[in-house]
Amino acid sequence: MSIKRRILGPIFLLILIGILGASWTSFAAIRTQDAIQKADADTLRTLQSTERAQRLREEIERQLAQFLEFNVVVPPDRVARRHQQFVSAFQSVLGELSLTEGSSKQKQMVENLSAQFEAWNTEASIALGIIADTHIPSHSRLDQLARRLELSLVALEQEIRIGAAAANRDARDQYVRHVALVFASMTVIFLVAGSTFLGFGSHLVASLTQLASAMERIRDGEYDAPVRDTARRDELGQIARGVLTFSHTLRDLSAAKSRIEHLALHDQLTNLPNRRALQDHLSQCLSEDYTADTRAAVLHVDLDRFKQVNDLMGHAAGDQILRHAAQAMLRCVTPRDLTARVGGDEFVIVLRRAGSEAELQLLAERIIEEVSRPVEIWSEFINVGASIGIAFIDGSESDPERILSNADIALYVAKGQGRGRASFYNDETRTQFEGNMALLKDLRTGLAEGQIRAHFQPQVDGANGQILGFEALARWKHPERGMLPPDVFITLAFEHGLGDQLTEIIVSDAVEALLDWRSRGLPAPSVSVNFSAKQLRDGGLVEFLDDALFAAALEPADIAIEVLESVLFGDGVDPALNTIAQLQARGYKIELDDFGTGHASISNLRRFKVDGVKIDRDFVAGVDQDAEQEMILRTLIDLCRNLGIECLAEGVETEAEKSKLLALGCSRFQGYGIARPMPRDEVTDWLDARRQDKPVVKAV
Amino acid sequence: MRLLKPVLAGLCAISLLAAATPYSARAEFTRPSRIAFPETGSYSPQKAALGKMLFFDARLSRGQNLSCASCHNPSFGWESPVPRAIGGLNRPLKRHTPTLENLAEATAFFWDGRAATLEEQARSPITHPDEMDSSLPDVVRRLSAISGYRRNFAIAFPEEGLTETSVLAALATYQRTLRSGWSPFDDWIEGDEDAISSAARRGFEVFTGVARCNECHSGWSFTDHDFHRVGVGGEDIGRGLIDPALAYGFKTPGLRNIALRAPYMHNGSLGTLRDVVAHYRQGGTTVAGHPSELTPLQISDRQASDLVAFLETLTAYEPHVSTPALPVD
Repeated sequence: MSIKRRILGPIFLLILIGILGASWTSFAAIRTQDAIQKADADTLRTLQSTERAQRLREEIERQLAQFLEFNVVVPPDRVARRHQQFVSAFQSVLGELSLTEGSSKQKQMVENLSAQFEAWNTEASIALGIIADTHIPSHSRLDQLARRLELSLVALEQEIRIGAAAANRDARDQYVRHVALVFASMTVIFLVAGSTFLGFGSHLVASLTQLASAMERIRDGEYDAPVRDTARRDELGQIARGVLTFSHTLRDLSAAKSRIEHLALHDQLTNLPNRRALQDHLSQCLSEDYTADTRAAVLHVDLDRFKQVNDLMGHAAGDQILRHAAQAMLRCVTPRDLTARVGGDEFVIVLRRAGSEAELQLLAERIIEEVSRPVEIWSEFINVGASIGIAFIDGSESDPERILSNADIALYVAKGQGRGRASFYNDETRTQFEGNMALLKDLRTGLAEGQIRAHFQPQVDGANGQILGFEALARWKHPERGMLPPDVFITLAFEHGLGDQLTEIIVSDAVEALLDWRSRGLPAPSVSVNFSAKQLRDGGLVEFLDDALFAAALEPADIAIEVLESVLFGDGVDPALNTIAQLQARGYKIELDDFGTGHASISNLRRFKVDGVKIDRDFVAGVDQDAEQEMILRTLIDLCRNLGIECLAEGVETEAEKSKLLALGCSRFQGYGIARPMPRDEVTDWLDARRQDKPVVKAV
Repeated sequence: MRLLKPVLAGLCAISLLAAATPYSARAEFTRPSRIAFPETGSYSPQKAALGKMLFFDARLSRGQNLSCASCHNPSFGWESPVPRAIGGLNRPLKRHTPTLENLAEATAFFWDGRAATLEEQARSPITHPDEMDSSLPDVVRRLSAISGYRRNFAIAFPEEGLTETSVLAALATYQRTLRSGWSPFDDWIEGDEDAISSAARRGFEVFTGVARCNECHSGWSFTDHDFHRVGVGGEDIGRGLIDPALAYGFKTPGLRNIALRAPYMHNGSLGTLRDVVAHYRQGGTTVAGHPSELTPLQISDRQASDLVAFLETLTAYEPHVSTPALPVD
């Protein structure tokens, strides 16, 4: 049955019972009232009869007494008639009384009254001579009978009153019994119906309470809260099923929402929070108060050599590396800290409790170590490095972007210091960074406006003074700061993608210089140009050089490619080595710059058969005074000679050094002892002068 | 009534068990409910009413100065408040006026009982020269002249009419209806213990006990309707005129309304009831040649006064008697 019926049904029933009970009670009251009124009316009538009887008795007695005073002689017939009038009247009243309702006692009394009246009447009739008798009743006898009659009448009257009172009482008792019966019946009905309804009600309330609490729990997000009564067929069941369905829908929606939020705030690959989440987190962190003890920190982690792995082994391997790095970082931080992936191979860790700088340094080193652990990919162990820039959140900075920028700067610095390091941000760093950025801006302008030009440093054969070639070196004639050395801007240019442009300028200047010098008939065998490992890896270099030389009608042999010996660090898959091999095949000379300072793989040295090496100036400077240095230099020179690689000494400055080098078997010199790097025209002049002074050189 | 009687009797019996006087002693004094009329003098209220008129009518006397009621004054218990009544000739009569109450059952009338019926008795005062000094024919003649009497006699005696006999019958009939009224003593007899004082109750004890008054004053009317010698003295021999054996004997008077009927004795020689009691206490006067049935009573003064108290309870509550309207022409 539906709840509606189960609630409304009993209510209607109870109302009906209430109306019935009230009607019954009212009916009983009316009936009682009627009974009482009827009884009262009967009583009144009867009492009136008795009063009339009493009056008649008095009259008749008075008349009798009057007759028996014997003061007047009244004819017998008149006496009889007058007596009989009263007797008849009295008898008719007695008749009325005997006909009235009343108790048996009352009827008996009326009968007695009748008998007494007859007795009296007989005696009175004798006394009045109506009945002939020799024994005449005395006055006292008649009085006695009359008193009895009177008393009987009074008694009857009393009995009638008592009877009436009893009748009233009976009626009232009956009414009370009726009311009691109604009350008892209604009480029983109400108890039964009420308790049934109460039972149902409490059951309903329990179900509703359970539903309500289930809904509360669902509202609080506990979508699996148990919902009972779903099998019920009534409204409660409908609600329960609805709640259950809603909870499931809500659960699904909530899950979807969580998923969307997660997706919006997390990187899918590593499942780490993304940049947006990071920003939110940072904003939150910044809203807190910090002291030196409780400061937080932002660690900007950048994977080293990741692009290399990505390029060489594909994105799948790169993804694996990223996941590895993410896991490695998570291992190093507490759950309270946030690790986010903010870019390709960039991560940001927000530490809620940074601790001291030394502790943070240790943590950073541990992160680097963890990240640098080799990962097995396709049965090959690959590792990447990491650089970390660290900025504190200590309340001095309130802009999350600024904090991230600080960490970024620190990272920049760390990278600038060499990879695999951690660096802290401080205001100096920023100043330096901003200085770099200003310089970079100038550099772009400088590159566009031709402020940067190639200078050429001659390379000569110390044995015969023959010009071997020139090394093209970038020189920036800064409009405000004057001539700037390469170490000020080369790294900057390469870091900010200006390396190619710079190289273009150098190559272009080199080609022009060669053409110029040759057109003047000056000895200009070749110009060597420095290339970075990145440029070698990026590809397109061969085509670029070919195009440049072709345009100038020059041969690959006219250009020497100088690379740092660190290029040869890599293993066989390094595309730089591939480019080197291609360049060699085209006929370009490959020279290893700063030989001896890096850790060139000797095997690669042999495998690629570089055309020449340039011994770093550290080995050359002061070689004439240091026997040990001389021994190293000799070994290097011997190594090159034995491998059949031309060997050139850089930084040759004094005649003593020249002599020693010559003695050691290295005759190819470059350095201030020969000539400083000069603009093209100065070189032209220098060559002209040298052609004239050749004998002088020979003399040397 | 048949049912009520034994119940009442029972109730009386129960109440009398606690009372000093046994019920049997009282039963003797219960008033009869009816008055027996002789066959020859039947009752009718018309006769009685006519009798009452005659009784109060002075025109029955020669000088029209004396009615029966002149001496038989209802206010004094149908007696005269003098030792001897004054007759029509203004001379005292020989004896004290006797009462007329409760005489229906009597068999002899006058102090000496010389009349056997009331009809016979009535003739005497009317015709006695010391008294009304008339004659019955005169009476009939005189009454016949009055239309009211003629009419009344026609009603009361439709066959006989106004005759000497009917005059006497009417008077007798009226006198038979005269009964002393209901008294406190009657109530006491009926069972109301408080109807009379304790002194009166003690007096009743004396009356019926040690004083043996009820030996002559017996029955409800306190008379045996017989003749007794009580030593009053005087020359009147009373019953001795008719029966020499009962010389100085006089008819026992009833004691109902006795307190109203002073003075006492046949000659009115005792003024108060106290005197009467004193007389009986000493056994009557001892006059030589006056035989007395009495012996002195050994009773105390208190018992004597108790006796008086008892006798006073015999006075009716309502002794008043109205007088009839007499026809005048």
